[in-house]
Amino acid sequence: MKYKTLYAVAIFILCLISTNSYARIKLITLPAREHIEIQLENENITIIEEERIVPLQKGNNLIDFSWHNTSIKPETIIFRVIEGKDQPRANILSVSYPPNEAALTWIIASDKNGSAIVRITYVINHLDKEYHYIAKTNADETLMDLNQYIKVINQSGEEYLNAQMNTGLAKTVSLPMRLNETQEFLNYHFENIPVDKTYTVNAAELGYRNRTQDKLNVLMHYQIHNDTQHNLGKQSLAPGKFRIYQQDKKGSLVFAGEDWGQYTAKGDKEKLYIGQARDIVVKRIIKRKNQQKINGNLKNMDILLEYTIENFKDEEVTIIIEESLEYLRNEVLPSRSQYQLLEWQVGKETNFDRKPIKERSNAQTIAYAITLPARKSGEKVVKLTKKLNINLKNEW
Amino acid sequence: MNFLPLSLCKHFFLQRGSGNKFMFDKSLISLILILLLLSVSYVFAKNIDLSTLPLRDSVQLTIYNSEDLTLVKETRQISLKNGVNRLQFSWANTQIDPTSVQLKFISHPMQMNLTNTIFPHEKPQMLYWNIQSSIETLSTIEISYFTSGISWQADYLGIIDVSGEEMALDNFVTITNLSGEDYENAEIRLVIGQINLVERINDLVRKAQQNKDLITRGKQDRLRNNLRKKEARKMMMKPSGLHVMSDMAVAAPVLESMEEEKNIAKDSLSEYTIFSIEGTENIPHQWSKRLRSSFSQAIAIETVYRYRPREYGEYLAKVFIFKNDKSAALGESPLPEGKIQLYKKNQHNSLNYIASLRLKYTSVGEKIELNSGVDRDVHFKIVNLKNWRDNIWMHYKKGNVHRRIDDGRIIVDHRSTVSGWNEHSIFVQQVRNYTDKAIQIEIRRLLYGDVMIKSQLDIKKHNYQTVEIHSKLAGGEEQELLYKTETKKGRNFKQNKVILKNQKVNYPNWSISSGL
Repeated sequence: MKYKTLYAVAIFILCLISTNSYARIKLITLPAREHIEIQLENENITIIEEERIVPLQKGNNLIDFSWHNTSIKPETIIFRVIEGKDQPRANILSVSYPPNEAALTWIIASDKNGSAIVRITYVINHLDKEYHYIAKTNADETLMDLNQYIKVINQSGEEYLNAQMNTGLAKTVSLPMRLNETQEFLNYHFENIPVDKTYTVNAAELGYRNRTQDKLNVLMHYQIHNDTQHNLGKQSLAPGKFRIYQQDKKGSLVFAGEDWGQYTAKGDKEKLYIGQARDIVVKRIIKRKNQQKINGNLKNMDILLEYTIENFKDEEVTIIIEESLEYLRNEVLPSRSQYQLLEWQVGKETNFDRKPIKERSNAQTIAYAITLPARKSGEKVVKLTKKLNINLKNEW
Repeated sequence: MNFLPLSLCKHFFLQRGSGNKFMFDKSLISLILILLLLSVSYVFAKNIDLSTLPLRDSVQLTIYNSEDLTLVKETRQISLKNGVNRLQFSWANTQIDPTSVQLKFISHPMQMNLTNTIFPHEKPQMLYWNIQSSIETLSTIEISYFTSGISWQADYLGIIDVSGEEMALDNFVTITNLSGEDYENAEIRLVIGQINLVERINDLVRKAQQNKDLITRGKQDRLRNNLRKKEARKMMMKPSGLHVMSDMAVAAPVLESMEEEKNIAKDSLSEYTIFSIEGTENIPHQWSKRLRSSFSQAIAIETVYRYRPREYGEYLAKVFIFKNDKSAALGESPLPEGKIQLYKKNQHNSLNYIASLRLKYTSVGEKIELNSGVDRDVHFKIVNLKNWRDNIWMHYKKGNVHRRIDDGRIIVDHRSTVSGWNEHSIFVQQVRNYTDKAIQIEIRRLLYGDVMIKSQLDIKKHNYQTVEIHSKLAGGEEQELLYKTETKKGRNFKQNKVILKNQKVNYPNWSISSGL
């Protein structure tokens, strides 16, 4: 009994302390939301814009806005009165922030009695979005259908019923967001997107499939163009996971691989790594290295690289051979005394049919494209041998 | 209801004093004691008072933003008798600097004289003034002191219009009171500028507080009991023990004409600018208040994409530039440092968030540059396309001579070493504008050493080691800005410098050379 009394005293005092910070005079709390827009356009930030109709009296009005247990960033809250006919003219006189409360009070002067349309905009945390893509290619991997999905995860502590999702497109998507709810919707569907399929080898960056046999990894990529000529280009593509399915000859879908898609601006290209090709074999060997002394410690190095390429596929393919000159120098001159800027030239024994690829070649890398004929049934696979002669110059 | 249960407290203490009539659970007692001590925190506001004086008549706060410092000036009416008058002024549990308290006679300066000020040793947050008065009268005095805990911050809201060429800028000031004292009907002045303080006010307050702790340690229990009783009595008398902003406590009055925003007058004094808020404001302890200091519409803004690794980092920064002058609908006063929230209006009158940035102190006429970070719709890449060396000199140990290897007089010497050479490099700066608007870019390149830069670009020297390249791109345009450098190394090096040379640079084709 006595303990009970003492506990009661304790609780009473506790209440007394807590009420100190919570009880405030609240005059007008904001009326219900008329319209809510959730802006998902910005990559790392979600913005809420809510429209409310606030009855204002002539003179000063106090409007209370509170966000207990909601992840609103208070410094981003903006109160705007949307001007319109017959609406009162309103001035925000000041904003007061009470202690220890997620709340504020606007003092707003109005020139007459009437209802004002106001918009409150703020940045909210923990209302996140993720993009992901499902792509379906046809049997010969020339065309792709692409669906872009947006998953909205609401852990912000607030529910937004009647929310309109603005994803940067002309139309908004109506989606009620309840507390702790995750929802996904199809934001866009694109059809018949032409796909460029490429194969790439690069000993330095992509490595070897079998080092002892000098067989390189052959990586297969899809490249799509985010522009209207290629049936895309409605908006930039947000980063997200691409899952790629391919239609087999019977018409059913087979999962072909997945990759993280990068941000792709309107007009830019997206390159997706799908998987490794096993039916294309590329061997890389250093056939010759020949050091030529100029004088003292100054020397040149003549190198002959040989690529042996076989295509076991029933179709013609194009493969890109990239060579990193820095990697090559480390292979042939592992114990250089000091770092020098890489100076090299393509030697005359080189027998690639085409010129180096401009977009992929620079002071550190040279890249060539070669077309491999399809395997003909009953015949032996064609073995192509391509030589790359590199002269490393003025090394010491 | 918010009052302290005095009867319960009394009951409790009486019981405690009457010799353990009840067997208390120790933990429960300590819990109650803690809670009671917490509730005592109430007492700590409203403690600046002159013992014989009524409340303040007026109070003026001059708040500095560069230091945690506020000058408080308050006037009070005081009845003084002919002869010596002793006045007590105390400021327990506030943030007042005891060394700064000053008394001034406003109404009868000739008849009054401050004989001395006594700082009692046992009560550090208190002083006594002995005033010699030659008349008996009601007199107005001014008490001024420094306090910490009141601060003000500027912040901005920039809304860029749909075209991206104009911006509306709101400038706000937010005043926060954590001083331990409520200030009602205070005239407020805000000072922008860097003042010099040899000791921080907060440290002075803490020093006094430490002193007090030493003295009062022995008397703590008694003091707490007294405070607790005093608080309880106060609560009984007051229906609500809340901090209420007086202008919010009553329903807003209906005014004859609409109240306009308060004017914030800007004035300058020596190296400082002073913002004076019209009328008075109430700022209770722990509250913040935000007022609009200025609003400017249609400020012309320029957008420039800059590559300046030293300033912004290794990326092409999108920078908004505008001027604090009359031509840009600004320039009324310097802009104090503060956070700026940048938004862009879209076609639906909604706001898109751009960035939250820091606006530095900007004088009238000065430029404001806001770096909003990377624009992912503008690509920028610097690629080294080709390198080669020439003008190579060898150092021959025998005879200690240097010879160019291609001068025909080469001496075969296995022990000779490279002693000088020129390095040539071709670079391309690839810029692609994926937006549909024209953009301008500025690229700064730091070139170390004895360098000649060859190009036909719009290029100029920024300093002896840095060049700046300018270009304009139409919407959707892609440009390859080529340049070549020639750097003298080893014994060829003369001094760190950059020479500009107008020369066409071709994209290398890496074609097959004639061999070694």
